[in-house]
Amino acid sequence: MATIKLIKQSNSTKNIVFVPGGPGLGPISFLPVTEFINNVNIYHYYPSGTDEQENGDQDFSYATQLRELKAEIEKIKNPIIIGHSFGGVIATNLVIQSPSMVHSLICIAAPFSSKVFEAASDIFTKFQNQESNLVNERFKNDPTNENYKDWFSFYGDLYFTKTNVDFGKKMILEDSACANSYLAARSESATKESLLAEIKKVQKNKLFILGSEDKLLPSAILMKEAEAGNFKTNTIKDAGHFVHFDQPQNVADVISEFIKEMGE
Amino acid sequence: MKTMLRVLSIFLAVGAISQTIYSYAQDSEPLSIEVEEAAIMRLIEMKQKVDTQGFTFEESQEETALPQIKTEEQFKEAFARHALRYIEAIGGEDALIRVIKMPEFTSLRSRGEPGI
Repeated sequence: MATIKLIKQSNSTKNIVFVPGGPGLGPISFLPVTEFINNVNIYHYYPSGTDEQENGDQDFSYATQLRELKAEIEKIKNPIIIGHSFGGVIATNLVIQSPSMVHSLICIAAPFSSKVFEAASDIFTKFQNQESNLVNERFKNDPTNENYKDWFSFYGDLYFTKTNVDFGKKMILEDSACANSYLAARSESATKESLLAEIKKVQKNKLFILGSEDKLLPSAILMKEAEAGNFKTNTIKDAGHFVHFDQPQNVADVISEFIKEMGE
Repeated sequence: MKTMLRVLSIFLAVGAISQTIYSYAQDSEPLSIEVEEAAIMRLIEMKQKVDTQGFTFEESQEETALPQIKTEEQFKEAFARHALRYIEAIGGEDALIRVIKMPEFTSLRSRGEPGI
């Protein structure tokens, strides 16, 4: 089962929930940015199968993951939801379904349109070589959580800036990831373009944070998507796809400023 | 015929992801089974000439309505495009999506799906 954990407590009534991507990654990438955000209660969301949970015959479909996220978010009072990549997609879906449950929404490098998924697919395909084929085959033939992490971290150059890629790869390998979650929900996650038109109508404060050096999802396309969803945008310099991991302090500052601007 | 169908089915699968179908459907001209059928047959004949008679793609191309094909990649793209149009023309989109989700095509699905 999915769980939500209080990672940093304050006297404030404001709550933040970080939702990881993958699908099937744990929230380990949010630890650095969590350190830099103060005066707010910070929760990390652990999707089903992560956090070393058993995940034998469980259903990891997109619909189930969305239902589980909703069930956990309901436990937190009026939270600001911050979702990275796939986490941003599913968080957006939740806000559209249950706007009264959340205070506001922040997406970090979340892909919505078929255009951005096609671009990512092209970039990924161009990155392929003999070595990647071996990693792909290993994950395909034996989709364990360990092989999922090996596979994901192998493509670290697409996710992190050059100076941070070794730390990024190490972080992925230390995560509590769930391969079944990726296998069950990744394809469907690429079919959620309509969420942009729907979230545009939702009267909530919305922010989209992207990295200027995102090698996986072209920032020009992400920017257009953010505008289509009526998000405010903020581009973080020298940050890749894991914007919050490459530039935790800058992302924390942007989040803190966003919270400050909203007031109570 | 059996080999031809097998080749056809492989190329159909390669080009077939649901997003491609839907986005392509929005851009394309009115569909005709006959036109797509003829285009696919011409492409198969062209490939046979290249493979068995040592022609280049340009040499193997007769005066046709097909856009000029110079490379293997252009050939693959043209084939996938016409195959998808053919599937659309016969109303086979849902069947195609079901097939592409079958375990035997996992490698095609995951090939271009980096973690996000």
